[in-house]
Amino acid sequence: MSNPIIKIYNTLDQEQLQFVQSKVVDNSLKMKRWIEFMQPLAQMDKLNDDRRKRKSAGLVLIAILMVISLFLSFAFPWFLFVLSFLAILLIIQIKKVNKLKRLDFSNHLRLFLMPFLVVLKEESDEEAKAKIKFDASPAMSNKKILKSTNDNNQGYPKVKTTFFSHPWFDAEVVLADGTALKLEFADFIVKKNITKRGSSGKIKSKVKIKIKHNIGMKINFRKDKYQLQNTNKNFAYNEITDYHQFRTKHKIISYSLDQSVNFNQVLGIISASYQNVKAI
Amino acid sequence: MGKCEVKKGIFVLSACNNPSSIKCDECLIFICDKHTHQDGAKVLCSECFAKAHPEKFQTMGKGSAYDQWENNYYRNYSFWYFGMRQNFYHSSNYHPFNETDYSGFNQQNNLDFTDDQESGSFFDS
Repeated sequence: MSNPIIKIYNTLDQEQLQFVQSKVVDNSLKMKRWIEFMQPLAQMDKLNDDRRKRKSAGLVLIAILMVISLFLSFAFPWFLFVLSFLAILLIIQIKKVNKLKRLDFSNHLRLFLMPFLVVLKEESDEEAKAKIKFDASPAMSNKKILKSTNDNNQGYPKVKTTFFSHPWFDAEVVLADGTALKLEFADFIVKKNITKRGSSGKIKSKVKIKIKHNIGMKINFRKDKYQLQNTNKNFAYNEITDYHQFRTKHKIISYSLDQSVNFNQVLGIISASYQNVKAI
Repeated sequence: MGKCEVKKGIFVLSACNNPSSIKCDECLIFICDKHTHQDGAKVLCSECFAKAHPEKFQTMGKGSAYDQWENNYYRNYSFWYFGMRQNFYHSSNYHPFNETDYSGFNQQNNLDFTDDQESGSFFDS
């Protein structure tokens, strides 16, 4: 394993190591503790992602060199030694990449959860706890397959469509103004493996992905601090004993697993709910 | 000696209140160590610094304030946070609540998330 990543890994406590292993955390902690918990893991994930990108590029280069060595070995047999060396190097690098993959978290950790924890910390009291369940495992693993279909084409193109369901975030927190916020995020992913025969007769494959980030929010405003102002049509209103409750669902579409939920859009949904009330 | 007057929060603003002995050279409020930024010869609060350097606060991407925060091992997020907040207010036209908006502010700690209804998942159906 690479040194900076090992350094961070060796500083992790038992709970953090468990999260690295299972990729799921479900706990109720103070906001400052959540940030302390996630900080080294996000740091390790960033180094890991950068490292794996470089190593993958290196693997491609080794493979190209192997092909060149193979051709050259017909004319210069000693190139077989070079080929053997490159083959050993390839195996070692593949093993290293696989080791790094075991430490990988989904990009939701770095690109959404870390900045959102900061927002929640600044929005809450020092002593406030947040109950968070976060699943940082790969979205398109076999365990998450809802269904898989093959088209009935005898010829080409052949299309295999796989549907994944990945609920990855569930949080409840009470903010400094007494407002109770609950958020649920679930990704629904459609993956299409398309195999076509080109005009030259070559068979080509392509993978297309579409991700629907489903966001559910429930927010309770204290009646002794807020009164109704105007109800935005995107929110369902419910009056409960001591609270004005608003519920809403949103969908955000993206086409890459390298991205996460648009952070500003989530802030926009929460701020839009605040526009339904005014301070007393 | 005073208390830091930098406003934290996005939806509802409240003062930081950390101990402070210096003032922002621009808006003259008291600022704590966490919310102090050196800008040449001036000492600025996070808000004034973000306003003075909007070009440093692009949204996520290589070289952005967020990228810098990540590369700094997630230490001291105030540089990223105040720029992000400024960008958000600018793009959304949201006006946050302030402590002074509330007439009978009465903080209660350890409130649970209360709900008269059964709380099923949003995605049950």
